[in-house]
Amino acid sequence: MNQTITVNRDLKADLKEQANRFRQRMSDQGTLVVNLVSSPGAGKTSLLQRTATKIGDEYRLAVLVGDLATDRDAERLKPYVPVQQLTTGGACHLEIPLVESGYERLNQSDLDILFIENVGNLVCPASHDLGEHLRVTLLSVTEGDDKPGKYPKMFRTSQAMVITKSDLLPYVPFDVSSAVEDARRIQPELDFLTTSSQTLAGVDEWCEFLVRQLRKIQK
Amino acid sequence: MHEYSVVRSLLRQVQEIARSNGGGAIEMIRLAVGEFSGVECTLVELAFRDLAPEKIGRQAKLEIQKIPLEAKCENCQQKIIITNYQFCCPRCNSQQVRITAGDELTIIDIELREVGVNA
Repeated sequence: MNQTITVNRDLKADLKEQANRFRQRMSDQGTLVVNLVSSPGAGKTSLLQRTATKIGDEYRLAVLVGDLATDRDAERLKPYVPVQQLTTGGACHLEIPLVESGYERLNQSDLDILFIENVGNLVCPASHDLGEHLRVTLLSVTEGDDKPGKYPKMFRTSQAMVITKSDLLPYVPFDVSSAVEDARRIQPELDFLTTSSQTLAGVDEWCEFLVRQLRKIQK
Repeated sequence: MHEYSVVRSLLRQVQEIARSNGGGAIEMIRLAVGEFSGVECTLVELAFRDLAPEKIGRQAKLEIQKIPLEAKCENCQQKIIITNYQFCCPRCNSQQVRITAGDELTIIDIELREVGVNA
């Protein structure tokens, strides 16, 4: 006779609890946590450089940057903003223990905005709560406007979409309104912005968006 | 593709549960996998076949219950099965739908061989 043990436990219960504790701690100290997700090469690092240049004097920013290997993104960001590299050693996404230990290494409890630059991947990072207040998916115009429907979980779990590399719109068949429509079929409340880190178009609006979100945390 | 890390975590957790319930060999694990959990059942099975024999023994079997993506319309209260990830109520066309099932990844139960009994 076998003995059946009823469990009914979420496999990720511990990680979810840790993420919730981290989010609460950040809320209590007035730090907005923004998880940036996208395909590789959509422009997360460039947008963060522009963001730091724009509002880095006025607001205390820091970045935790995740990658499978190398500290190239961290090196790119260092001249602009305090940064800690999170190397996943091959894993396709970040998890909260790695984020929390990176945050401790930053050693800054007075941050206004903590950015988490996730591993470039529109699949696995969708399933991992990093204790963020805001999940923002970047979609570059060279990827195609049909991507939201192909990666539904990522868009469903995001609060905003930033369409990047808008300076390339004249050269590629990307329809901004189709991309937004596709994404809003999955997540009707999704905010969206269009930016170019080359011409700086939309970067002010992006920064204003962030500051509005920060006000909600620091109210 | 993070099914290997999911299965590693599953095996760690069931070992813990087995230990605290007398330490009998794990015969069966029942896992609920939602369609919107971000985990692919076939890949979970492959990872299980690969990792389980060494960690919890060859006798252990995995049974996966697939949970469809279900939602409730916040506007007309209709219960909906979501297909093709179109989060829209077929009755009233509202997009205000709340997911009620299908994003879970849950250990339902495990079966342990009684200690002292050989299979």
